[in-house]
Amino acid sequence: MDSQPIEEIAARWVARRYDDAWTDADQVRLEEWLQAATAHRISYIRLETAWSEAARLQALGAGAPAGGRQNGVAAGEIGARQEDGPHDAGKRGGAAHIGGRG
Amino acid sequence: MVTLAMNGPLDHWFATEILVHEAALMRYLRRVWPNAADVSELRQEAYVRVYEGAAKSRPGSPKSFLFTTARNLMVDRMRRERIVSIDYTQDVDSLNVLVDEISPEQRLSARQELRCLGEAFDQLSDVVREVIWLRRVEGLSQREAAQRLGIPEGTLESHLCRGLRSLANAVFGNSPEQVARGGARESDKGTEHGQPAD
Repeated sequence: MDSQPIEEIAARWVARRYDDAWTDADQVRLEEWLQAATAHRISYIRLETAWSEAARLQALGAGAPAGGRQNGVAAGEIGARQEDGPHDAGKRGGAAHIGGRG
Repeated sequence: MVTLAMNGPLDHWFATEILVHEAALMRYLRRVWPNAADVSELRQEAYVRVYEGAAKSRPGSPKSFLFTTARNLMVDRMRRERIVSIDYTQDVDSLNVLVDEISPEQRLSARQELRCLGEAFDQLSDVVREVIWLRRVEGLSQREAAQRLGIPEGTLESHLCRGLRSLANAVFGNSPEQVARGGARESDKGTEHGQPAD
């Protein structure tokens, strides 16, 4: 039994489960997949718990600067967004939101 | 906090009573199992056995149950695969000793956990880090995040999956010693088992 492909699939389920495009039909398929094998279920629980924990990254971004965030373009952007403060970050997110729909 | 899709008390039990011991479990498996490439697979198999065992009857001591299960799993494998180095019984004995040696209770404090998460996040590639940030912190959908970054949605999802798996390994797999080595120490007693701050 190789856990890697299962973990990969479980990660995709988590990615989609927490996306706007998630439907009731997806939920049914997820539940079928979880029922199919305990290995599916435990991989899913593990990654979903990590997804939940990752919400705490916000607290880190707002706090002391971390080393890696100074590297690279994307990292710099994230840092800049944080320095702008939460309200501004929210506004930008909102703008992208509207743009995405239009 | 988001509502998780997990069903029922058994899934919750598994997350709060078993996954929290992953760092100790990984340390144990790496110490005693000769082939490092098998360790993730052994972990998964131990988890499956623990989950199925707990479905029938919830163990009184989850941690002992996890380690005993992992040990039995390795014994089974040794028999099956005949990884009998020189003295099989001695191998099995070494499994017993090391369980006790490695098992002292050392959960991370909430701040240590947060630091683990931050360090793991910093180690991700730039694009993966940005994807995680946009999806998880800014709350963008896959489509919105893909548009923001100018990449296809499928690519974005792959980045997200890679990042999520790395973060999971960091969140569950890091030991207190590893964290202590990584930075300053904190005395934040009373904040153990903290919930995500949202």
